[in-house]
Amino acid sequence: MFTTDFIFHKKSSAIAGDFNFRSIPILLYGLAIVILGACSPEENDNPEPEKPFVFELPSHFPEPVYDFEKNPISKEGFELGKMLFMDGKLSRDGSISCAHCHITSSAFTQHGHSLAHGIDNRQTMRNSQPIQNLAYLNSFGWDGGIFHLDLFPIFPITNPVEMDEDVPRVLEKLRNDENYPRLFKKVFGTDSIETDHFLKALSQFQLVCISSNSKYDRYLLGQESLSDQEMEGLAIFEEKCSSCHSGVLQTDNSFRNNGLPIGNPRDLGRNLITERDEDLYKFRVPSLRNLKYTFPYMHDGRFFSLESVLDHYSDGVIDSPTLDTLLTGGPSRGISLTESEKSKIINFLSTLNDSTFITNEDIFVF
Amino acid sequence: MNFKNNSLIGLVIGSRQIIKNIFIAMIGMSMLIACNNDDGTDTPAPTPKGSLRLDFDAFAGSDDLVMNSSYTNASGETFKVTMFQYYVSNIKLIKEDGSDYAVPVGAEEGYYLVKEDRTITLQDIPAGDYTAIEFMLGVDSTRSTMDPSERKGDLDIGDPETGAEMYWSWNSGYIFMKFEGVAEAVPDSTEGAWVQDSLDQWYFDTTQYTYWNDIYNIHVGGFGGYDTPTPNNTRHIHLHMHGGNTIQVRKNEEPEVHIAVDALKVMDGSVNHSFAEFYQEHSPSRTGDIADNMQHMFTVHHVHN
Repeated sequence: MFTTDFIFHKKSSAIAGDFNFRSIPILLYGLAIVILGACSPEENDNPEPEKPFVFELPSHFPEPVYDFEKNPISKEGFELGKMLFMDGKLSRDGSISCAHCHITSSAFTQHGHSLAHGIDNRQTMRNSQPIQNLAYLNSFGWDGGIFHLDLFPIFPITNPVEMDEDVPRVLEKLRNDENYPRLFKKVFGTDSIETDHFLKALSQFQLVCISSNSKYDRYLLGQESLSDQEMEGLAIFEEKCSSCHSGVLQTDNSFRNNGLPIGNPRDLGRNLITERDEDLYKFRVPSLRNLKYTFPYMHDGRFFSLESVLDHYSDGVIDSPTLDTLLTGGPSRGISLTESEKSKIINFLSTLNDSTFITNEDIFVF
Repeated sequence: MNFKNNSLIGLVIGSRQIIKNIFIAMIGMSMLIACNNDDGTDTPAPTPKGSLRLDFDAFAGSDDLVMNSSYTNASGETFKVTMFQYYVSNIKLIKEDGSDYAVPVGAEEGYYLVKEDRTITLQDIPAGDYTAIEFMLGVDSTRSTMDPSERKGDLDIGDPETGAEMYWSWNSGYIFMKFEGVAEAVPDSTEGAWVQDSLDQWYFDTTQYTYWNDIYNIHVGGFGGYDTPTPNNTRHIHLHMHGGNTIQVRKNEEPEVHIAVDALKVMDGSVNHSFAEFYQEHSPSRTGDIADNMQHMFTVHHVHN
């Protein structure tokens, strides 16, 4: 069950008070590696050792929401997930893979498109969201309608404007493939390709897509300092932005109406899920990591620059019954920001870009 | 790993072991107590078990429901049915004295998709005379939010015959009931979509989709919400046997309970819905009335003992 070259651990900064049951498998994995490692040299004549597969949860991130015990990450599981992620078989006519709208070099968004385009170039209702640090989210999509990462792929697969396929047909295609049954067996012990195995393999790939090596991360870990401009930007950000964009992932995982003029009259945001009046036009507070690669911004990708985004917050906020109260508190609607403050905030936001994430060859698709 | 962590692991594993030992000891003690109950003479014979068949039969009023034939609702509209299916779960058998037996639910058992007509055979029911049946219409919130590995059988989202037909992908959860067909009262309409043109201006595009001419799709779902309370459209059904009838479960016998399910009551009941206004329904908040109506569509037709 344990793979030889797989390491799952939190970085060594874990302190005794941090300890919980989840660490036990880590010890077992470690033990398995030691034992198997001790036996392997005689069998393995190949002088070039394979690069070990390392999956680490960053020590400065919060506890993950995703339950890794229900889906332990393995090298083979991750690779299978990546193969599925890249495979057009998930769509009706073979033309659309997950990677079509989630491009690695754009931090897994659809480069430059306001609204994601799916099968037959059909237009979806919203901007494609990055696949990064998903283990820390408690719901998915701009409206949070999907409550578990494992359940997410069902939506794009069955959506007529994305992949326009259904799950049973996808499973059938995989079962008839010459490779997949063998690969599933390696990960899940059976080649029958069950629904839950298919979904969990896709989760394994997505969970490994962790972006935690930005300049800001290195600053938090005491490995690098920020420039004066960036430090000033951070201070302004913490004062004026971080009540929603809070914590190391810059989100409080809430849904809010940030006062955008209504675009698509049908897109009622969180209300489409909860059907409560108080949730009209509320959307997810997104993480602000990798903004350099994920433009355009907002749920419908209406802003192509961070300047436009900040101009909206300072001067463009529209009043409505569900407008967030944090944007109505001051003398006027929105957030009071001078031009100099905006540019300092943008300086700080640039420290959240993680170039190693979009070039990481393990997760690179295209 | 530093020394501190290692010793902690030892402690945790150690305390787990102790808890396990205590647990085993407790099981042993409770078994001894159970055996001593009747002064050690003889252990009681296990209750014999039998099986039972529940026959769900789709009706239209007092006759069998016939797909694609014309019926009239309380609003005077004629309509045809092309699909009528729903989940039955959490079945309970109740005796005269109020004691009950709950049919187990699990990853592969206890959730049944009834497509028009279906006979559900229940095994290992403690023998006895039962006077009522209870069940849930829909899928409970506990199961709805479990890991996909705990949702197989009729709940498997990848099964083309069951789960895949009964799942909302955009608002995670099962569809409890689908009632579909055609009715002339459904307004002719073309459904389109708001899309953006090359200048990012929104416009209503009616060329992308064309549906709904005469077609109605009434879908009831909603388990109450994962973290935000939303309508819960599961319903409990209680069916009492009439006229002193009982369901006599015995070893080597298989009683059969015929349950008539009147599909006409989906639209008609405490609220009579008109197909002119109620035809594409996929929202938990709009279909609570339908779930209420459906509580009254089940009757015990007869029992074969």
